[in-house]
Amino acid sequence: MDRAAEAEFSAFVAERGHALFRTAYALTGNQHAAEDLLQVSLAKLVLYWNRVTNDPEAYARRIIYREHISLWRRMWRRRETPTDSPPEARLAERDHAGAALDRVLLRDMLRMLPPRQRAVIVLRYLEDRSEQEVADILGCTTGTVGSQASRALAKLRASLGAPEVIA
Amino acid sequence: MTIDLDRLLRETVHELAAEGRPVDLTGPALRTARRIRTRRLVSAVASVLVLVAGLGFAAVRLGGTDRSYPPAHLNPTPVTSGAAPTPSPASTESLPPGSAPVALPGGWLIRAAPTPLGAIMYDNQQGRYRLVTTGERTAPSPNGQFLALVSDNGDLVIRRADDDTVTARTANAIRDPAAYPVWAPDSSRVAYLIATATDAVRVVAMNLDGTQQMSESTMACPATCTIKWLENGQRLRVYTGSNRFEVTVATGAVGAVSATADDPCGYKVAGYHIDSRSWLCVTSSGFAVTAPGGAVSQRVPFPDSIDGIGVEGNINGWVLFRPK
Repeated sequence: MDRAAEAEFSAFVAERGHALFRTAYALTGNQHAAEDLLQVSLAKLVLYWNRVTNDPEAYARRIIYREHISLWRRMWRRRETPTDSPPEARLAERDHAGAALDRVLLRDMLRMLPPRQRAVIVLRYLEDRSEQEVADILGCTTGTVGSQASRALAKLRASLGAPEVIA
Repeated sequence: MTIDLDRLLRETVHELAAEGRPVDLTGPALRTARRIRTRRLVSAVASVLVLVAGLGFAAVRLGGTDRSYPPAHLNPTPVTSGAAPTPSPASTESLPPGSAPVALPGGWLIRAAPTPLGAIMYDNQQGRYRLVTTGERTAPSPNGQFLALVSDNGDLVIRRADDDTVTARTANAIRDPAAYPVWAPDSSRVAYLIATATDAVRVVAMNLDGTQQMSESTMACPATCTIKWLENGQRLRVYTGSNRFEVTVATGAVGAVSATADDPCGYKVAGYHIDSRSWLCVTSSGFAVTAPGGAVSQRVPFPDSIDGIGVEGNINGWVLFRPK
């Protein structure tokens, strides 16, 4: 990478690094893991910088999501049944305190989702991506996106003890 | 009662994303990219050399001469330590007269750093660094006298660093392809995690002679779990996602969940006391002088090279020591 490209890359990170970090943090839920994920992803972006003609952010995001799933695959211990004591479903009335508790439960469950399901949730609810866009970013079919989203939502709903959903 | 899951989920994900503290990763990313390029280049050159060696060997065989050398002689490695050559680990010393160990805040020095092929280690006796090429997963001991090596199939071997004397070997010990054993501060033993069938782990402390002590109960491990030694070397801290356990090595007793306070370096990394007001933490991109509350007052990025030998920025394999 020559000096001009390095300057371009540095300017890009200075401008969009915060937004990319938010995505990395939402995927990992952890400061150190988010730093690791973003650092590795940006390093890969550097390697392909000369080929990224326009919209490097989209390219960076694609790397982040795929790297997240790939990193996870390399970890043998992260499986889908992660705990002896899953959080108890909350069945109390939905007042303000209840909503706060729901968010705490949701966060716990989000952390336990497998990486692809979590990526789908983040893409849909943080980035407001369509199913087709999610499929493009993750490199899978829209059918896979749909099934992953459905499973993730079912788990999240179950964690709240919610039998039905208001659209 | 019904729940608007879509709205709740949207709020939760946005709240979560906003929690992180963004840091400037431009420099670390550029350095990591350089290392990836270097590693790819080394790998390509090594592949070519292996191919050439293979073709040469085949040519000799076809020539009808029986040259059945022992395997270690097929790929001789340079050894400049003065003793008889040893097949493994191979060592390359830094340029004479040798340079002082790399200094860090608080009087700490870099004993060892990870390289793509093993580690670079500082030898107190020789007063210089040397490259130990043993494969990718090498954990040097804090005193520089031993290496803990993990083979591709998870066998754990402890060797003396100055020759290839094996002091302990455990088959199929570390099955996590990304995990490293962790040395006790006094270099008397290593610790590693083994998984049970129910997404839980036990911690094992293995002495230099191969004898072992296992934790007496399991710890739930929902995600990646890590271990580190507490400074007195008598206890281990096991991080299991949001919880932590302390294990007494002598008895294997496992304490209550998160019963003791964590140090500011947290789950991820080794922590080293500088004084009563600060710690030296090894982070994903370098070393950080950290206050007990977690505030970082100084950062020192991982060096790109030590004595002209390229080192890796990954967090594993960094070993620090402080002269007494």
